[in-house]
Amino acid sequence: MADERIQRVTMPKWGLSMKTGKIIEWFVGEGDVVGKGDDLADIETEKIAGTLESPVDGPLRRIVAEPGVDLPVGATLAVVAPAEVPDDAIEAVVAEARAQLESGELGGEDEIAPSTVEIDGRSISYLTLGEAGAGDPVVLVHGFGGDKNSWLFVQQPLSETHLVHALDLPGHGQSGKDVGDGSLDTLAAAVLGLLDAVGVGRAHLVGHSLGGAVVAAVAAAAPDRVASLTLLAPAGFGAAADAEYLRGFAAAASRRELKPLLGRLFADESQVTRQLVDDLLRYKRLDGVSAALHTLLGTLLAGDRQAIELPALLEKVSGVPVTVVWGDEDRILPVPDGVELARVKAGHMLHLEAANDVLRHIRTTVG
Amino acid sequence: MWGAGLRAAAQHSQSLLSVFTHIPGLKVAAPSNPYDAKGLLIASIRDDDPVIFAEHKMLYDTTGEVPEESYSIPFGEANIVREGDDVTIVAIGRMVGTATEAATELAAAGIEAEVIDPRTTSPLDLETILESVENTGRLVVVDESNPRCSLASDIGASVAQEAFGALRAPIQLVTGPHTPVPFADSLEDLFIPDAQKVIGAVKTAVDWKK
Repeated sequence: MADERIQRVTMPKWGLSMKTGKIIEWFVGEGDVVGKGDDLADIETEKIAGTLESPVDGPLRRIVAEPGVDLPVGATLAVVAPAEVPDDAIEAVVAEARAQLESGELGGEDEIAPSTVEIDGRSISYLTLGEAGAGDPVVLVHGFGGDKNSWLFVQQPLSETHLVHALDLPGHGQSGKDVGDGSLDTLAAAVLGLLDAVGVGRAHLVGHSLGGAVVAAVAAAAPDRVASLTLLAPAGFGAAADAEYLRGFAAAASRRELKPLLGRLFADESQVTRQLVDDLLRYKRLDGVSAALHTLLGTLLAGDRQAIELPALLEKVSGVPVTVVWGDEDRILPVPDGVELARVKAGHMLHLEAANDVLRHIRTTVG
Repeated sequence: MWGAGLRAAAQHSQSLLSVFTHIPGLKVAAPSNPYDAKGLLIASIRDDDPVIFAEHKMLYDTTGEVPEESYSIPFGEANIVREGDDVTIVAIGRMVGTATEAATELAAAGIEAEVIDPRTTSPLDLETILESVENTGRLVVVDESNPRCSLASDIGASVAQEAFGALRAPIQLVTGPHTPVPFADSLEDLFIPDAQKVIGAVKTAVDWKK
């Protein structure tokens, strides 16, 4: 029955809470030959829309999923198989996929839950995906006001080849909201503490925005613990920053205040969904968050300019490969001059808006 | 505790939110889901003013995701439960679920309803309601209490006063009738607004020809 030449393209799982998604538009048709990494379709989830890249090579024999229909994670979207596989065999796979869908067995898999460790008296929440392999594990560090879920397009695909940890920095997500002095050293100590707690000697570190400066501080403090640095629109290159956004985000208490600010994070403002605004408001209402964000503002800003000096940190790091990636339409931390970097088509949230390109840069760095 | 549906007869099924909302100096919270219930209760405890915290009897079994940590939801900030461009439905307490059910059915018929839950009736986030009506041009208020001098008539009157120019149809109020809540099961069921009554009111507003 199972013909190994027949490969299914299935509904991806983007982030812990994703249960269903729907195809907005197919970019390919039946009969097209697709290659790994080709854009297949745009998919919309409750939280965000993204582009599905082909996980396989070969002729696209059948499209199973119609646009506009909500389908559970794991549902068969399309069938890829070489031309010599007879139509009957393809039809059998399609029929099996439909039966699987009707049976309702999909989407009921066990939820992967985040773990918590105590580091320097703070509880730190983190999510681990993947299995320990030959290479060093990867640790993902989010930015100011973000959390581990912002890696939804990155962590799962990366976990196919690496053990990947994503943490909530102090003051963020489900971690404790006390940030102490809020300094880079304090935040870096949380990342190093996590490496110790999960028994990782050396890791590839990936950081976005404030998280980029944090992972650089980790590398400066303990270069032998760091296999590589991937810095996504990191804080601290040059002095320019949208200080109004940063202060506004820390202060905003209602949807009316928050929503217009969030548009500045993206090149395409339609990425700011009601769900995104609601999730951030829920975070901001937690006790201690406002104080944490205001303390961290002091780390990020001196007046209206950036307070962090990343080149000074990176000077202390030798022998660690550093990759810098920037969204060319970043309005929060504009693309700096005189820094060797790769550009992707996105705003500040490049790992959401140009996830597949960012993923490629990370893969190139982490091997 | 408030609201009908528990077969508890008139005196134990009343919706007196309007009475409390009428009194200056009192704050009134009426959560429609577990997340709001925790956040509003914490805000109520921390507030120095007297707060009437109105728990709907039929919502005690509702389940939903609630953070373990402590958090508070500011008073006077409405929740946009669902976005839509064709009609604004403002609903309170248990009626938020009824309005959402109606909106889902209406969407299948091509009518996109925006559902707004004020969460607190005093203070009332009239601004969010007005912004929505400016966009949709139609307002349906759903409240299970009696219609005279009620939240429904109050919100309706405020919108008529502040956003008359935006309205493309008469404001529709979906409420219980002006009677005590009946004790007979069949009559109590008829008393409480359901999704079909909301859908009827929305269609009246959408189909309105001047």
